[in-house]
Parts: sequence; C-alpha cells; structure tokens
Amino acid sequence: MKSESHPHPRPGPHPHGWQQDDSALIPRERSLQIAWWIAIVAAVVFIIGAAIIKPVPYREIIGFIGDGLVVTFQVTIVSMTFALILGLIAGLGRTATNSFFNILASLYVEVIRGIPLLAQLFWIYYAMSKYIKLGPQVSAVLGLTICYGAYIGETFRGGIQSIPKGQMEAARALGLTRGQAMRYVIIPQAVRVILPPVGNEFIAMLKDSSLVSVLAISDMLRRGREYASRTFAYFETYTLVALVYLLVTLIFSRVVFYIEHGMSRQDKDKPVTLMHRLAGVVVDLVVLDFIGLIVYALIQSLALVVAELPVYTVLLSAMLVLGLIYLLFFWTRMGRTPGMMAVGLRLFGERDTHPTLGQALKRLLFLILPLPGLSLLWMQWSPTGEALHDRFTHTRVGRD
Amino acid sequence: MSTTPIVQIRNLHKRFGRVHALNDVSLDVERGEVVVIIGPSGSGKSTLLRCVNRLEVPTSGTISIDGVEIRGDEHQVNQMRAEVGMVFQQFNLFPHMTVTENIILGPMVVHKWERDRAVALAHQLLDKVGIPEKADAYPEQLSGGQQQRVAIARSLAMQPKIMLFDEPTSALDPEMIKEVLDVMLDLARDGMTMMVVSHEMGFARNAARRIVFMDQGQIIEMTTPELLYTAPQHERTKRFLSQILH
Ligand SMILES: Nc1ncnc2c1ncn2[C@@H]1O[C@H](COP(=O)(O)OP(=O)(O)OP(=O)(O)O)[C@@H](O)[C@H]1O
Ligand SMILES: [Mg+2]
Repeated sequence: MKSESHPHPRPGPHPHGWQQDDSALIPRERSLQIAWWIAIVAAVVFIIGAAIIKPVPYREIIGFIGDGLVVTFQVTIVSMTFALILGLIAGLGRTATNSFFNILASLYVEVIRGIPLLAQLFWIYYAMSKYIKLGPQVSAVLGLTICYGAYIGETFRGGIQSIPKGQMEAARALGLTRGQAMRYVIIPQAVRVILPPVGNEFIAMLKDSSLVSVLAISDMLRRGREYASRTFAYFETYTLVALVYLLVTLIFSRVVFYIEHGMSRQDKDKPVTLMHRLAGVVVDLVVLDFIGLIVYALIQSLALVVAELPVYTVLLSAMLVLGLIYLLFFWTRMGRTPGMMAVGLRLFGERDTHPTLGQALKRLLFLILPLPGLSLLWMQWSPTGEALHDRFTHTRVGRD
Repeated sequence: MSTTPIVQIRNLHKRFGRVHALNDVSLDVERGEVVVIIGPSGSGKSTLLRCVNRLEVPTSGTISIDGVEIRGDEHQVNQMRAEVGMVFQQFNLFPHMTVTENIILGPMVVHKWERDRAVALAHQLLDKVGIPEKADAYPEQLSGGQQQRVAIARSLAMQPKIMLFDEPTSALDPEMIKEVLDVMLDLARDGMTMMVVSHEMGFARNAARRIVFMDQGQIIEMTTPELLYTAPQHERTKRFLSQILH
C-alpha cells in the first residue's frame, strides 16, 4: 500500500544538482551499495540454486508465476503511461497561475493521497459497479493511474518549480518563445530532476500492482496464490514470489541509481576505466534483457489490438519505437545521457553532448541490436518465454 | 530614421500591487550611446530595464525600440527581444549546455542558422570576450567572471542593436570585476548601444555619455558622469553618492 515507501518529490536536487561531485560517496550510500550487492546475489543464488537442486516445485513455480510477471509488467506499464499523462496535467495544474485549475489540481492531489490504494481499487471495482460496471483490468489500470497520477503530479510540480526563474527569463530575453524555452531550456533541466523520483514511482507501482490481484487479475502474486492453493506448496511459492519481486525491484532501483549518478558522472572529464566500461556493458545487457521483457509485455497488449500481424513484425516495430524515443531523446539535445546507457556508450569514445545524426544512429543500433538475440535467448531458456512463445504462436493473445 | 533615438521611453509606469516601481519615467537613448543607471536598492532600475525588453509588462506608458512601439503582441515582442540583448546579475547561463551550446542556441532557434555558422560565430565571440579555450566547458566549470563573459557572448550572438546590463558585476568577486568591465568597455568602443545598471564609477566615467540617477521609481537627475559624481544637483543624489563613495 502506498505509504512510507513513497519517496516524496524531494525538494529536488539543487537546480544544478547533477553537478555535484560524486567522487565521495557518503558512507550511508556506500553501505546501501553493499547491501544491494548482497541482496541481489543472494536472491539470484537462491532462485537458481533452488531451481537446480529442487526442480520439482521450484522450476514449476517459476514457470507458473513467470506468466504473472508479464501481467505485472503489463499492468504497471499501461498504468504508468496513463499516470504520467495525468501527472503532467496535475503538475501543470498545481503550478498554474489560474486559481481555478490550481485548486482543482490541488483538490485531486489532496483527496487521492488521503485514500489507501486498496480502498480506491475496491471502490472503483465494487462500489462504482452500482452505476457503471468496469472490468477488472480497466478497474486495476484506472485505480493505479488515478492514485499514481497524484504522486507523479507532485513530482512534476517539484521538478518544474526547481528550475530558477532566471532560466526562463534568459531564454525569453534571447527571443525564444515560451514553447521553445520550455523545450530547450526548462524541460531538459526539469527532466533531470524528475527522472529519478519518477523511476522510484515506477518501482513503487510495480510493487503496488500486486494489490490488483484482489480484482482477479492474474498478476504474479495471484498466479502464486493459484499455484499454492493447488499444490499446498505455500512456503516455496511465496518465497519465490517474494524473491522475484525483490530481484526486479533491485534491478530497477539500480537503474534509478545510475540515472541519478550517471548524470553527475557525465559532467566530469574523468577518464573511463576498463572496469567502468565492462560494468557499463554488463549493466546495459541486464537492463536490455528487462527491456526485452517489457517489450513483450507491451507486445501482448498491442497484440490484442493487432492480433493479425505476425508477431515478429510487432516485436520489431516495438523495438523501433523504443529506439526512436531514445533517438529523439538525444536529438532534442537533452544532452548528457542519464543512466546506464551512457556508461556503455562511452565505448564509442564520443563526447556525449551533442551527437550528430550518425552518432545518434549508432546509439540506436547499440540499443536495438542486442534485443532480438536476447529475446530469443529469453524464449529458449525461460519458462516465461516458452509460455509466451506458445501464446504467440498458437493462440490469439488474451487473458481472462 | 537614424536620427530618432533607438530607445524611446515615454511616461512609463509600472505597479506591482501597491508598489509603484516606476513612476512616470521618460528616457531616450541615442544610437551608439552608453547610459548608466544608478540608484538605491528598490528604486526601479531593474524594472526599467526589464520593461525595455518586456520581461515586465508596463502598467502604462510607451516604449519604442528603433522607432517601433512595442505592444503586447507575442510575435513582435519576440522579434524585439532578438534585437535587445540582456545580461543578468546572476548570469543565468543554461547549466545543461556547454559554453558553445549556450551561445549558439539563440541564433539556431530564433534565427534558424545552420549549426556550423552559429558555432563559427560562437568561437569568434569567445575570442572577443577572451576565453576561446572554454568553448566546450560547462558553466559550472567556469569562474564567475568567465560565466558573465559567456553570458555577454550569448547575448551578442543574436547581434543585438541594444544591450541591457543589470548589475553585471555585483555578483562577482572583486578580482573578476575588471575582466567583465573590460569586455563591456570594448563593446562601448565598438559603438554598441548600452543601458547599464551599475555602480562601477570607473566604467561610467570611461564609457558613459550620460548617467541617470533613479530613486523611488523616478528619474531624479540625468547628466554626464563627470558632473554627477563631482557636482550632484539634488539632495537625494548627494546622499546616495555619499553612501556608495563612503
Ligand atoms: N516581481 C515583482 N513583484 C512585486 N514587486 C516587485 C517585483 N519586482 C520588483 N518589485 C518591487 O519593485 C520595486 C523596484 O524593484 P527593482 O528590482 O526594479 O529595484 P532595483 O532598483 O533594481 O533594486 P536593486 O538595486 O535592489 O536591484 C521594489 O520595491 C521591488 O520590491
Ligand atoms: Mg535590480
């Protein structure tokens, strides 16, 4: 449930926050790093070890809840997309000078933040059915969207307001229109402030999406419950469910960490060591694998709409869309890459500030090239992949 | 046309709620002239400059730039701003862009220049302000004086007809003030029209033909720097000068 896990829009790093020196990680952060490594190694070792030593319940459970993981991603991604849109509206409303919109947005934020997510879900699914009957999926997405829209709205508000007024004035004084100033000056700076907390919202939502299992949606938790109640292997099932959540959360929290710290690293002209590069490649590959999984989740949703299209066309176009977003990100000169990709991108030995079209294309390739391979590996090896593969090849995608 | 003042301010009023920040200000600035504006804190100096490029919307009165009266219309205002450079006390460089990117943004976005052309101009301007080696640095890597010089270069890149300076040196450590003033003196010698809010007496004496003393939103006295500093006419001017000159 939404509670203390909620990183409130921090006052935001100082507007020049990404310029701080990251050479001296404070001890607290260092112990967090160590804890991260211990946790992830333990989780991976346990999952793999259990699957090898006791394949009977464990491999089966992985196969069973794997499907649920995809649903968890689906619910999260779709809800997050809408929540970002709603959050942008709420955030702009909260910064609006027009008091009507301002009050409206504030009211929304205050009310929603005062009601537990689970209560909201129940209300939407059960209470509202007195007037409109919404399906479980629509209810789930609606509930997560409305709830997180309020929190993300506050994050956006904080980000926009953290950019000093002088920035807009300097841009306008050059003759830029308000829109151009937003695009070239304000948003690129605000994004840096907003990205890490939004990343944390994503992680929080990934966990909170387990609440939708009460609406009979086969997310990972629900799948675990189904398996456990059938086989009575409660301990094994819920241990794995917990560990998979942990694993996913840990990986994404590392992504957020890199987004936060990658930004400051870019500013220094520090030499990039070989270890640095290797670490970058490994992190990128791990992340890309997850992007692969997310892409599948997306495709599944898409495939509902375009069931006739051959699966791989959909796959490729999804990758292309992802790549294009990435390309756009560079092309609008958002500049120094936030996040882990940047570490890997150092391989090209470029200054990562204002890529030419050629460099941007190279980055695009770097992003999408490993995807098909990874996807294939995923299909070959992971039970989730098999299940997905079956769905893609034998049936029209859909869940009930 | 060339005989009309490049800036014409007539009966300008600006109110912020109950504060009457500008109270019936009229001022002409000739082409190529340097006007220095001084006055106590809160006297409306910044507000006057900010009205000229319409960062503040006047409550009443008119402002004409190069013979064209500036009204509210967005397109006209943007066009005017491209011709009126402004340098701020706090520099306001864009921290996410390199020095070169800061400078080429205006020409590329507003004038739709090719990147190469804009970069060439940027390098030329960085030579002019004396920091060609900082082209690829980020603002955070520069000293205050260097940042302010980049800010001047950024404004110059728009090839403005007028430059506004709002206390360009008052956020600087003493040892950096000179390097910025030197750049401004160069500009003045090149014939740039400048309105400068600054209490740097040396600059006023060397560059300005006229100096304006403001208090409580009004122009109290307007004369040559020499006369103002040596023989101020008004009581308020005297009091103010005795404060800043000790
Ligand atoms: N945005 C604003 N909202 C409300 N009041 C303002 C605003 N800007 C300026 N003022 C007020 O208008 C008056 C003139 O301010 P202005 O900044 O022009 O003075 P100044 O001469 O530049 O002073 P300083 O030397 O301190 O910079 C002051 O009383 C100030 O408080
Ligand atoms: Mg001022």
